Amino acid sequence: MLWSQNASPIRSQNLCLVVCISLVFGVLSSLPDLSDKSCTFKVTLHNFRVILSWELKNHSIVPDHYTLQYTVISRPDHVKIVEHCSNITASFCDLTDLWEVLPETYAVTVDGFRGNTTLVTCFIDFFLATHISLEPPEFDIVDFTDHINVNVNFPPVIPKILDGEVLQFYLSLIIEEQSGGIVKKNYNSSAWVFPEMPPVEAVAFVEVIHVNRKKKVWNYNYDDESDSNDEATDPVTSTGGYTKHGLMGGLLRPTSASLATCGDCLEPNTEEADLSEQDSEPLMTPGPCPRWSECASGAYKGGGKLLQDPLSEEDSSSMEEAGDKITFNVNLSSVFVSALDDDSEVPPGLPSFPEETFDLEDSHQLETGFLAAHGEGTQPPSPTPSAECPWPEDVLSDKSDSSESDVDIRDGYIMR
Amino acid sequence: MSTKPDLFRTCLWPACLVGLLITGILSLDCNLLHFHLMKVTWQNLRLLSSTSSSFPVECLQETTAFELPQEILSHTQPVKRYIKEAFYEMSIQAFNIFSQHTFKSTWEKDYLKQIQIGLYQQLQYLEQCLEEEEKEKEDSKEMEENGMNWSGAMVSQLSNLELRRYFNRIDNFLKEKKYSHCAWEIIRVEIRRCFYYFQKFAVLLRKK
Repeated sequence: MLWSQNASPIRSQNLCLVVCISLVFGVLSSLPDLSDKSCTFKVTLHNFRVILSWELKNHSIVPDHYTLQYTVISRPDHVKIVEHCSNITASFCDLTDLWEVLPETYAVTVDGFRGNTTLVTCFIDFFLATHISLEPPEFDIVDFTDHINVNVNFPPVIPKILDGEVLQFYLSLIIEEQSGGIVKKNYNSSAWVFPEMPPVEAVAFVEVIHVNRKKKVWNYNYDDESDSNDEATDPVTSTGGYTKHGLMGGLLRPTSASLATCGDCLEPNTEEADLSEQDSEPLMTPGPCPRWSECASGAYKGGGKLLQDPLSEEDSSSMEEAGDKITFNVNLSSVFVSALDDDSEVPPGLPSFPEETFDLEDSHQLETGFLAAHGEGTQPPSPTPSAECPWPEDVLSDKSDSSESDVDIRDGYIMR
Repeated sequence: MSTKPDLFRTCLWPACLVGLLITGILSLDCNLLHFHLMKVTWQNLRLLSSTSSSFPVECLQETTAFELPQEILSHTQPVKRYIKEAFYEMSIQAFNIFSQHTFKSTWEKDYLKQIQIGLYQQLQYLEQCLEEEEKEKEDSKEMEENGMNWSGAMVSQLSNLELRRYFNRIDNFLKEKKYSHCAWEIIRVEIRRCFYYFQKFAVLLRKK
């Protein structure tokens, strides 16, 4: 049943828009957390930057600065002090320019000081390829009456750590509207993204994340009491219920969160059921506040070339490349309707690539790459901005940027 | 009254079932070999991460470079036969290393066993497929390419020799360090890295 062309998702009071970009990497789950007796570590690929962050387990210990050093276990070099992460107040470090080889085991020491006194020393080792978490690129959403623009930002240059890795970024845009138990979907927009640096092919899998405002009903009379952070001359073109929002980290692996999040757009696979059972951690982590995301995304200027999916059958959307952004224009009048099935937990597979199809056993691990992206049940120590950005102390990964709404992860969607 | 016919009948069906099972296992589809290699190698990589909780700080002073062969590091589109042979060599060597009984008191025994089983199954699968390939080659009309085959085989053998030397260095390291806890931890890290590169190799097998 085709959605009425007269209907508009913006007019629906329960519009849920789910956007996320999942980088299709090899995924690992059920690995030990990165922690020693004093600290919990996390290493993420945030906006294609390798960010190591840490948090002290004993919160009563409050160093005023940290120094970080590391060594690569397979290379008998001396321990290296990271100059730009010496005597830093932030509890994270951008190591993109130092950690250039993915399949290596890095042994890291973080010393926390107060004055000249060492309060705490943390030590961790990890195989980077299996422990790095993915965060998808920054994106903006601008909605209009009959279409939505999704602008995805990619860096101009892929970091060396991804050189030679078999990566596939497949952009697939899915818009889903939930209204009165009925789910309306348009998932036919897709594109390959090829970064400027061959031979790596970058394909980011894009879904649509929830922005479902519980407490604030959208005023479809378009009063100015909008949640939008963007100015808009025409209320119809305001961002309405959308905010500039960091993307949710998504995983290839089936988990309870990703099943609903990614299940609609991924092919089901039952062969990996035994592995999926092990992973019950939520995948989705809320993104950073708009101010921070703007700061982080501002570090990059350009993206890759955009090629439209040649097999995309629907003509309901178009894509544009505008410098460093990829814009999806989705015609909402071509949304299909299906009944919302609470019991449906279609295990995710992969989106069908234009040229080849996979079953999950093949695609699951490695055509793509071997970065592990795994959501974690525990909150990451702190969000991960770029090195240049100040650390917003009040931004926690599980907090909304709106003081009025709660972030609730349900069925893989972030509900605000 | 003879019980032999009864015994025979009693054992017949289970024997047939076992026979069918063995036949099924043995007649693995070599077109799916790369799936198996990818899955098992990745699984073993994960298991190696889980066998030990963390790398001891005191062992950092004993690390050494084992020099994984460049052909493995760069994986510049080698021929598929070489990939399979390299996998075979790696599986044998790694299996031998992990089958030694002189160690690993702190490692998770179950994980270690799974690694051994995975490598063993991998070996059997590879053996079967390499033999099939060999047989097909003999039956096919590729004799006029003998010249290229010979040089290709030489390259393959040299590369496997490098791989064997790599594992010999690992084995010698263990012996020199008298199979100490640090030595095993260092080897664990190194072989995990090796598995990762072979994982990427397995992806190349898939490509046509």
